[in-house]
Amino acid sequence: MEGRPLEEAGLVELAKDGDVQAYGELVTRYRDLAFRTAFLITRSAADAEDAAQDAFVKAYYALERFRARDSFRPWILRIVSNEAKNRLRSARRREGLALRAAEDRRSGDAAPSPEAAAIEVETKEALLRALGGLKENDRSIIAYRYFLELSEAETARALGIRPGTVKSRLSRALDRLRDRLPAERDAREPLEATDG
Amino acid sequence: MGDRTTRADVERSLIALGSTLEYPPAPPMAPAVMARLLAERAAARRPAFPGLALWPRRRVLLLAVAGLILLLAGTAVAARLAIGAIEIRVVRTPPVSTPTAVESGAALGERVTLEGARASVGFPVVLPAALGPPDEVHVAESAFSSHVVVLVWEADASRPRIEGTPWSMILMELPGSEEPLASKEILAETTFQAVQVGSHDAFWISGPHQLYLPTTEGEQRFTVTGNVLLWEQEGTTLRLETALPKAEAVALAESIG
Repeated sequence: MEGRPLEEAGLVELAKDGDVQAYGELVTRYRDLAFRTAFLITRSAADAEDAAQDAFVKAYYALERFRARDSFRPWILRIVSNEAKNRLRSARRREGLALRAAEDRRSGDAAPSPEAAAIEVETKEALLRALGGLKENDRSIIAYRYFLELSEAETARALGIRPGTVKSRLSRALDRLRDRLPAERDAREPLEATDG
Repeated sequence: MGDRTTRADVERSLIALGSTLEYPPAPPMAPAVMARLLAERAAARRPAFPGLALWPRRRVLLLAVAGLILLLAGTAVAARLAIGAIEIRVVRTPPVSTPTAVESGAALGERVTLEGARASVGFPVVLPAALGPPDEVHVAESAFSSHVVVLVWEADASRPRIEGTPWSMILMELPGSEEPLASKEILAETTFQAVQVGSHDAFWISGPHQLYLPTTEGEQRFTVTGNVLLWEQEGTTLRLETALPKAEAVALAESIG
């Protein structure tokens, strides 16, 4: 799983010694993931940017607690998500999930990926609505696993929970998500082709 | 729930959804983070710079300098940070207006002699030993009655002219301040590096950027075309603008004592 380049550990070591330039390199590497993580939580680009930036600053001061044998990715994501949650709490924004699926831009020039083709607009919207109604913890674990594609081990570290509990927590989150999907609209239909 | 949608269906739908989600573009973050860290480090070594650690959306106070005047513009302010009395903001979009060249010294404040400046400004005016005496000395007054000294050197064979000005070097000196006295806006694409001037943390900014000046008529904006080295030593914020590359600019800066 850990296919990260060798220099990462070196950058972390330099940053621990106060090399701000080296730390900037780490920020550049992880800014997309950090921003997306924060966006999934805050659902606001401005809040996500502030949260990610503040998280990177805090993480710098917390570097001494980072152990060299760990992966930097889940470690920074945990700080980012905490920062994003704090912001969410103070902002109390409830506008529904501001994420949009890239569906309607499909104008024939680029073929959708097989995954994208396998899901209908209504299903997406229903899912997004259902996700928007979940509690933060449930939404996070789902987003980490399915949207940010973290491994179970990384998800555990990013959430600060034991690896053994990721499966059961995810399972309960998926159940609650399922409960929120409309009964009349069966999400199975468009997926039938890939079933098996 | 029952038999309507299976767990596997939901998982597949989520994976499919994940592949089509649209996120806003991630803003560049490294320059702002690095500059905040350096600014906080600098602040830790001297009387606190209030609010620096928690700068977002902080009110900005502004002051003076050199370059080309630019008429206002609405830019999205994405990040702010500071070194000494100069605040730096990283913005996403450049101002839309066209700069108007200012080639006279008038934009720099009142012209004085070096001795006159030393007698009036209330902080030590320092000079780079590697350069001769400045060709002109100006003093501008900020909105908070503190003074800013602007020293300029003309271009010659070894020191190229800064585009849009008659000068090769513009050295600004600002007194220590609890509030930013001037501010700069840099674009995410602008080269912005953390460097050292002797033992002092410094920023190297290369590429056009904006500098702000509050005047009695309101805020003025300047486009800076030269390379800028920004640092603080002994309580004075120094800003050296030059067409020279980084290594030479740093060497010059290190000759200031």
